[in-house]
Amino acid sequence: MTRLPLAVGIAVVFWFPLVSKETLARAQPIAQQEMVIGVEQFDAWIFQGGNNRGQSTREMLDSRTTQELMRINQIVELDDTQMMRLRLAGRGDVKRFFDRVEAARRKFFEIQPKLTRNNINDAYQLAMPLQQELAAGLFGPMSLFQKTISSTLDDHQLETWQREIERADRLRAERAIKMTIAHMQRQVPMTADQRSKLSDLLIAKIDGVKTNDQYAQYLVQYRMSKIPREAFTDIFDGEQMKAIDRSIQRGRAMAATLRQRGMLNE
Amino acid sequence: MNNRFDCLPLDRHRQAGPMRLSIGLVIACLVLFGVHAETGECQDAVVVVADLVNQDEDSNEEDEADLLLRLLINTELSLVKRVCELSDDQMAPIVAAATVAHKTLAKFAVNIEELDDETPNAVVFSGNSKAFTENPFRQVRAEVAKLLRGLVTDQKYHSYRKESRLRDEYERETAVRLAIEWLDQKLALSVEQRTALHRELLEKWLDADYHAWDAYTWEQPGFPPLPQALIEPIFNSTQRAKLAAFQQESIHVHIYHDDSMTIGEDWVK
Repeated sequence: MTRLPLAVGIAVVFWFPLVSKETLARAQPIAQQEMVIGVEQFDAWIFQGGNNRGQSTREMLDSRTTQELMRINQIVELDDTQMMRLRLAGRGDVKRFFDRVEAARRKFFEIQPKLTRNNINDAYQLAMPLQQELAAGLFGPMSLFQKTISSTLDDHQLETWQREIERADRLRAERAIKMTIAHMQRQVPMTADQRSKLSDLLIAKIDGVKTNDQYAQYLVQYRMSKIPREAFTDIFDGEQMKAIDRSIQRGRAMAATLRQRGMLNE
Repeated sequence: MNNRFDCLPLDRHRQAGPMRLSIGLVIACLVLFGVHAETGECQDAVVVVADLVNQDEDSNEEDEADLLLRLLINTELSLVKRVCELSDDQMAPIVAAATVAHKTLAKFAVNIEELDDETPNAVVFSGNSKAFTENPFRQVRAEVAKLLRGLVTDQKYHSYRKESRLRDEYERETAVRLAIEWLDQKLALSVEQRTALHRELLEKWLDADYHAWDAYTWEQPGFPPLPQALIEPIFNSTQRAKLAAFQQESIHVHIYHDDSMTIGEDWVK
């Protein structure tokens, strides 16, 4: 029996915002003490902690391109030419992203000597859009990859692939809602009938949770805060509602984090 | 101290002590460890560590595991009250029995320092200093079901058991969905494969724990614990090779629990 090394650590549980000191520090560098900001820190803002100039991110993105190609191929069976075009498009998106990273670094180097506690946000503002872009994924609707899918797949393939995208989006949204409810019921006990009604309510009222992002649950919580309270009081009793109310308040508190990750535009 | 809130290996967790998270929140987080590479062994190796972190800086770490168990028991008793439609008076003997069960469960606590990478096939749940060798959610639910049998009518008992089973199924289905989504991302599954996986895992993967699987939604390089004997026949040779290339890693499930988010019915004091 092979025992593999202890390594992976994870976060999350119940269903409230997961924000560490470091996350806040990343989000609000101005709050930090006097600091000399090096390019390593700048990279860490973009790559969320990585310190090897994005090399691991580049590898991850290359791997994701391959996975995405495999996924499309499973559904619509690409020929060699289509495969090659899509691979090139994926590489193009990764290259364009790192070109933007390099451009941001150049601007960072320009302002670096003048950085003080009072204008450190200027540097952070250079990094933040790239961080958001990375968190949202490079192969979104405006990517070369998506445009190449549209121009490379034939009509039948495109229709099949579109159905697959819709299916995957729906499943991701359902999964995020299920996860949120599963966490909730470990703190606010609910009957199967209440769980079913809550699930129906969230599926009906919550839209736009299609992300693989680990913050998807927090997006669900935030969206819950937009549902009229009466919808919940119709389901839960008074004691349950006290805990639900506190949770909804915390959902609201996640707005800034969700915006920072590019998951919320409101 | 590892500053990544979503990645906290056990050894670093020990160094960290109570992790103080910001904006006045107390966070629940899971870290799994103890995954064997050998087929079919992985589930036994999940180690759950729960960590109660109070906002009170002076909280007594010695009591963390006890406190978490108490919160879980109280939450379960609140479900009992609702499902069985019991008055507070009717709850009294159940609370008394649960108080005894709480003390019994707490006796299984061990010092977290006694855990190491070689802890065999254990399920451990702990505060910063104490750990339990069972998944606490399952343990508490089983204990409450046991004590309830002689204290409520058969009809009410069966109502509770039915609710408990439906909840378990809901949580297990959540875990199965997460696992399939993860596999789909890594291996590009066909529609037929997804359907087969859903059927097989839902029927036979009884140890599935969504709470542990949720941890894997936080992008990690390692390979989560899965019943490989169940899933491998569903994959093609390319997918099997890719699956084999992923490194299985020992994982901890680490839970911070915020009692302000619970229902707040303190049955067991």
